[in-house]
Amino acid sequence: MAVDRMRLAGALAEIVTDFPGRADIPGKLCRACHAALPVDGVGLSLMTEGQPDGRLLLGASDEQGVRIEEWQFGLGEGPCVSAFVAGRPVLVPDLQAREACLRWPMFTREAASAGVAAVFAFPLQVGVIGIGVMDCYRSRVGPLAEIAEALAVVDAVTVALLNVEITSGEDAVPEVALFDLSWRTHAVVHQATGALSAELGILVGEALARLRAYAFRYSRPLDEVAADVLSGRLHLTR
Amino acid sequence: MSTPTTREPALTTAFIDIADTMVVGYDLIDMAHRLAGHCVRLLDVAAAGLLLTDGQGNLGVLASSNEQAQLMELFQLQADHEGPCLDCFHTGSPVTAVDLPRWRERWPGFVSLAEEQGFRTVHALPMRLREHTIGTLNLFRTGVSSLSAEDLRLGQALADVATIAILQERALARSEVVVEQLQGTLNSRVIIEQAKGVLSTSGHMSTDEAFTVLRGYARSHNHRLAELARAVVADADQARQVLLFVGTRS
Repeated sequence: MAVDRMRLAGALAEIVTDFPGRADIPGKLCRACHAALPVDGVGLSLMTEGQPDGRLLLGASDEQGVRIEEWQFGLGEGPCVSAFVAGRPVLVPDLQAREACLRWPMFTREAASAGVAAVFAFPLQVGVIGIGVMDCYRSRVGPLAEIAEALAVVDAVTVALLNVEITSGEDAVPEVALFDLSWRTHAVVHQATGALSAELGILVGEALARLRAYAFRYSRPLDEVAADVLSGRLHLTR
Repeated sequence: MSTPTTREPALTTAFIDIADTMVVGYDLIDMAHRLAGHCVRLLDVAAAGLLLTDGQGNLGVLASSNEQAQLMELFQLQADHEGPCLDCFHTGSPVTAVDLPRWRERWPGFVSLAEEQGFRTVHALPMRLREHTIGTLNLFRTGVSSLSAEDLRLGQALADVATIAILQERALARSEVVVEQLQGTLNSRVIIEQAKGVLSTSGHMSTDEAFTVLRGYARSHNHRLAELARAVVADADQARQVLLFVGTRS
């Protein structure tokens, strides 16, 4: 099952820029992700940068997903919490395996009673910028074979959520350029993000949004804008 | 380059050094960086780098024998478009390209950029464990000749060590563990780039120097590179401390 990244990213971005429907963004994103992956449900937890204990917006593709998210944050344990803290995916094909029960004793008990057998948690992040976590769950035990597809969905959700900041203006129109994910592997973009955050005294998440917004506005490749900021040829002001 | 006999102690040191970094809680990116450095010291190569897969068929730069932007660009180009590393990654087999101009048709962009930096020969060795090819080790030479068979074997041995370190073979590298490790490592690399940006601006230095500073502080304070980098990005005080530490030592 292949995921068309551009189409998915486009669909997700439409959801986040759909102004009147903004209240249920997490729910809609989850349902879109759910449709793209062979899992029984998807849950999404959002974090506010710089406020690790800040309020979490919870969303899920269904009621069971909402419960799973609430348990994890209520109990303070579970694959989603671990994934966010460790900054890497936590894939649990069997929640009743000894290893899982030792790691999350309370969560695994709750999950068993609710018939959730496997959870795959993916952090939504760009380096230090931690946006949240996407949880995929299944009622049957077994590995997630479609891991590449899941990672593509995770990338698309991450970028869609990052785009909220850039396009939250009045005349925001999602453009194809905004869905280009190639910058995520480019060192110069991350270096410029750090440099801009230090220069302006802003959070890294905001710095990345500023860089991307500038590149978007002037239709320039993000790499080039980043290189100009790093070399001092371009100064973005507060 | 050292001859096989004089090289032996250095070789032993390299493996012990790498093995040492693999104890619980070791710093993967620092290990990869050291390994690239060992390649340059032990093998007759001018530069070395490690590229790692993101699990979706793409490669990202993990470490390089020096962090100069120019050299990083050469690895980045291969991660994005074309080059011996990408071919090696896709086939899971070593790729050797002697006399780079002759390979211009196959990798036009890569060959031009490599030539600009004075490289004439390149080797790409797979980082492989059973069916998983998780990345490649890239070796650059300024001479127009292949590495000796012995050097290539040694290069492959170093690539294997890196693979095992990354996959922490315990748990026999369940595919879940592979994905978790690779994704975590690639994000750590992004954090380090963000920290290089913070330090270069705050300390008025190049990103290359910023990496040296970050690494020096991490070592002398026994911090993991990625954890220190995260603190530097999140906390201006930590960034100041790192810069102050360099100031007092120079």
